[in-house]
Amino acid sequence: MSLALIQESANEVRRLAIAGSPLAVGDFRLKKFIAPLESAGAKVPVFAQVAKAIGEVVNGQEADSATNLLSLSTLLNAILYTQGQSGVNGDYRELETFPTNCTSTRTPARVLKPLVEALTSTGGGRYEVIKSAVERGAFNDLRLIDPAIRALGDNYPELADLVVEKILPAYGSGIVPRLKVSLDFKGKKEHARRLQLMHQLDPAGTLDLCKTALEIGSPEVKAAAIACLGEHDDCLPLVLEQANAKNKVLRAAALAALAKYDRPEITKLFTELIKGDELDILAGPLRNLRNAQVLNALLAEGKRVFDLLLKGDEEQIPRFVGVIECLKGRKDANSEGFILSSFAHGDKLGKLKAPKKSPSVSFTTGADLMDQMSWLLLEIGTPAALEAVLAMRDALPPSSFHQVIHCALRHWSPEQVFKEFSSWLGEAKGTGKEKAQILQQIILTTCGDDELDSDSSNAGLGTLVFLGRPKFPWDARWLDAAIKADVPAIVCHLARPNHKAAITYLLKLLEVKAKAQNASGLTIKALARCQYPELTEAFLKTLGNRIKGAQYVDYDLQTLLASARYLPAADLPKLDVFAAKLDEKFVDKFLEALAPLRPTTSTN
Amino acid sequence: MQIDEAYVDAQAPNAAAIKNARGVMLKKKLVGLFRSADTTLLFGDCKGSGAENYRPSADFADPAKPVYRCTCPSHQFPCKHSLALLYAYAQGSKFLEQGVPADISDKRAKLQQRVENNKEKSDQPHKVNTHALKKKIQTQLEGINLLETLVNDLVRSGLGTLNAKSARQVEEQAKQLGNAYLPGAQNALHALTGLFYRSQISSEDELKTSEREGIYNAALDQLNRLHSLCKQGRKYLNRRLEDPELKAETETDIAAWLGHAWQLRELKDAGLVQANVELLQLAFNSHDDWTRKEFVETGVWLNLATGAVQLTRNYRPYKAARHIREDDSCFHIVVCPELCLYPGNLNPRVRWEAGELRPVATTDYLRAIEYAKTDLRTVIKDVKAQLKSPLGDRHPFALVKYRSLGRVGDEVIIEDQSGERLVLADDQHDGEPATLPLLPLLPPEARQNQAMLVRFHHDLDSQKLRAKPLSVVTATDLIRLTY
Repeated sequence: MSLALIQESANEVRRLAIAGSPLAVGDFRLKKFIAPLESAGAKVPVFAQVAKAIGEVVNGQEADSATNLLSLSTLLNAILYTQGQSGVNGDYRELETFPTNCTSTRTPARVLKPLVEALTSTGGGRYEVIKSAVERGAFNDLRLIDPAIRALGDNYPELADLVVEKILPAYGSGIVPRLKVSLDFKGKKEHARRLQLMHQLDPAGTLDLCKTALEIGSPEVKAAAIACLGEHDDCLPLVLEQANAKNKVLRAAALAALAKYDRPEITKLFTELIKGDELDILAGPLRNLRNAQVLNALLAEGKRVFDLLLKGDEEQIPRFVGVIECLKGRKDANSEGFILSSFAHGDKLGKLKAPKKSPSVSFTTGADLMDQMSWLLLEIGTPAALEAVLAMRDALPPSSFHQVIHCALRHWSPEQVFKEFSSWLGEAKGTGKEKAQILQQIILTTCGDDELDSDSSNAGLGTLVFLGRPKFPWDARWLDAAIKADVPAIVCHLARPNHKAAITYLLKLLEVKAKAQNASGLTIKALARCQYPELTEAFLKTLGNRIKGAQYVDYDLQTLLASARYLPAADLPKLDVFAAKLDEKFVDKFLEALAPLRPTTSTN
Repeated sequence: MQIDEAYVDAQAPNAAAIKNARGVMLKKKLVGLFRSADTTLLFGDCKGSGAENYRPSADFADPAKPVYRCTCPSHQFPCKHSLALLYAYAQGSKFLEQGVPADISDKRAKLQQRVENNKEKSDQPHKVNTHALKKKIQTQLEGINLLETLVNDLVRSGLGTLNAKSARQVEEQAKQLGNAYLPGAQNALHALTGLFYRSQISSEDELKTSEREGIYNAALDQLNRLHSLCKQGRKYLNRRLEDPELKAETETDIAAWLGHAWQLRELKDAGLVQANVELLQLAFNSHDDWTRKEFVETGVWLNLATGAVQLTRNYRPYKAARHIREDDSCFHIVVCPELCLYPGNLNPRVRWEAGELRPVATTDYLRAIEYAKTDLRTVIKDVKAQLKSPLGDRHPFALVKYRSLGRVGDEVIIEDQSGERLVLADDQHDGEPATLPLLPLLPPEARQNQAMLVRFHHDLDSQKLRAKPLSVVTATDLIRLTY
């Protein structure tokens, strides 16, 4: 009873502190506590003190009201602080256990803070921080689980995907309850990721959750639930139902999930859908489906559409594109036969214009169809397929030149390839220019000059590097052709030992054009490959020219410095003499660049 | 001297220095690695931007106070080159034995001389300019008057009238407190005004009505503290004026409240020093205290000599943050020849001038569990005794031993041997993350008969005293829940 008085008095004091202390003078609501507190004070003196303090506030001067009110408040708070309830009554039960694969907490705060910041904030540069932490194994810490879960909703999808694929699964199924806590069935992509991850970690335990998500979830969460349920044989009826859902995203998710199964009802479904209007959502699932009946239905539909195309019905172009999309990745004889027979009618097909009445806007012409089919044939890669593309090379659009050259590289000898295509290398106008660019790009990426490729990709020479690409032998005459056509990148890549014309060309390039094309480093490396005897002098002369008046290490200078590793180690004394004269701001970089030339120190 | 990578990390002034030092290693810039015959000196040659190699060294002549030297122009100590040298040593690179270079011998001698001079000076009685000190105290008293006026004005006009704009105006006026040698009082006032606006100045600087309702209790509590600070501060300053010795008070922490920066010498003179102490860090937190405009790093340590839970605090004002060493989590035992204690109650602040690191052994964890308080009732009583003091720390720490960690209803609790329960709950103090969700993820052995470091907080709205779990000590490990 008395403690209730203290609490109520404290509430009144709070009210008066918010309203202003002058109102406390004569305040009747506070005054009414004096008498009961005084009587309680007979037993417990502190209540009498409170009563006295209230009296001083209520009966005091307005000028002293602030001091009096604060004295009273301090006294009341001191009492309340001693009355805080710290325990709880009730039945004790064990704390739930969620075992994880990590129990370490030995990551220092200096490492944890930036990681948590990267996972929970916004802005650029975070992906790299997190990726490198994943590679270092820094996520092996309990304290990073919650920040990583928060990152499932990151605005940058690549980051969220990294968390889903690499970080959270490593903690094990123990984190499923943590994921479940804030799972929102009505949420968007974040919650779809959450559900899929929960199912990945605990497929059986989250089955009911997936069923609920399918019933009441948002489209994104439903689609995730369908993907999860598709993993369970006994849930296929549920997924089959969704194949007829109104929402296209759900239909696509259901078809993707069903494509893994070879069952009569699924075959029937796909066979019927092929006749429908939605070949676009069928493309992905059909690539995975290997059922012959479905494939035959698809090819029959393709044949029907193609016949209409041959009759000049341009409106069928989008549908035929859909069929081609569905055939991507297939290398079976039936698919190849269908594409070959269609491709053979290239002369008629190439004349078709873009459809005008198509329900969706489409600019695809008959020539584009030929281009797409040539890709498929290149992918199939049988001699018949390659030959078909080469036979049609003059009828194909310029954009198909890439496929044509690749088919030639696989099917023809290097001499024949040179004879057929070398004349295009120096073309600088119209379609010839387009073909020349494609040709140069293919030479750069397939000549097998790995060491140079990694640098040329950054050298501003308009090159593209494809990792894991095939390598082909190129006829030796391509180097002379490149010199004649004045294509520096190709010369640098194909340069070979003691080729005098190449050395002369590269030295001139170094003096005149290399800087503008950020190709100084690449040129030095090419000269090294030519075994040019005065390489170090050429390097130092170029470096001297580049740093004259330079304020910082620009890109060309950086590549030039990096090329120092190709210099002969015997010239180190000469290079060290140069370093001694070098401007302070470049010395550090220069010495770093020379490090690979130095022998490993014996003290280490 | 045992040097591992964690030791080197701990020596670095900041995270960037660690990164740069590892860069020096990766680029193989260390071209010569040497050690003295007694291994008290590591030195080397390191390629840098100059024509000549830098000469970094790490001198462990006094292992408790390692000295890092380098010929590079960096103002950070240790610089990245010295750190790289230590990393090389920690990673087992081969160091050739060589004599101590002459320049380092000279510097060692000078350092020795300086230490002796300082010792001589410290042995002499410290002379205080009483006239200047009296003048300073007079100024502080005037500052206290100003603080009282500001506080009373706020109470008179009512907290309801305080908004972001007026709170900032009060802070402008409070700048005079800094001029009156009362930075502590100024910070206490900022802790009040900071409740009424957001940390970032933006169009949403003003709090919403619902948010304001949530801060009034805390604001009133802070006003009470300021009120008490005025009363006790005035009393203390008057007493110091009357005392011909004019010594700072060590019985209470009122001097620190007013902003007195304790010198280690003062603490030693007052006898607030312990010899040969070993400390185990139980928890660490670093946060940005925008009301103080400082980065604050707090270490919670268990004194393995006495069992007391003590605190280290490293304040780095924004403007000088780059020049002050950033504290970090410590995974070693710190061995201090002399540990200085600040005046205070339950968890006094501690500091040491020199300390060595040694790896944590299982026996250390067992000792920690032994030191943990077994009777929750007594712990709670002590905590409440501190909380009722207006100037007492509102978030006391305690290392408690629990019989079991479990649930009652929705509450997570720990129970001691006698069945006394303590409800665990999260709070948002110092920007720390929630830790309760991590408890179910703890290994099975952490569920019973272990020790837990908790930090108490009293919720004025619900009148409940709760504890936040910060770490769990088992017989083999220390599991940290915060950072």
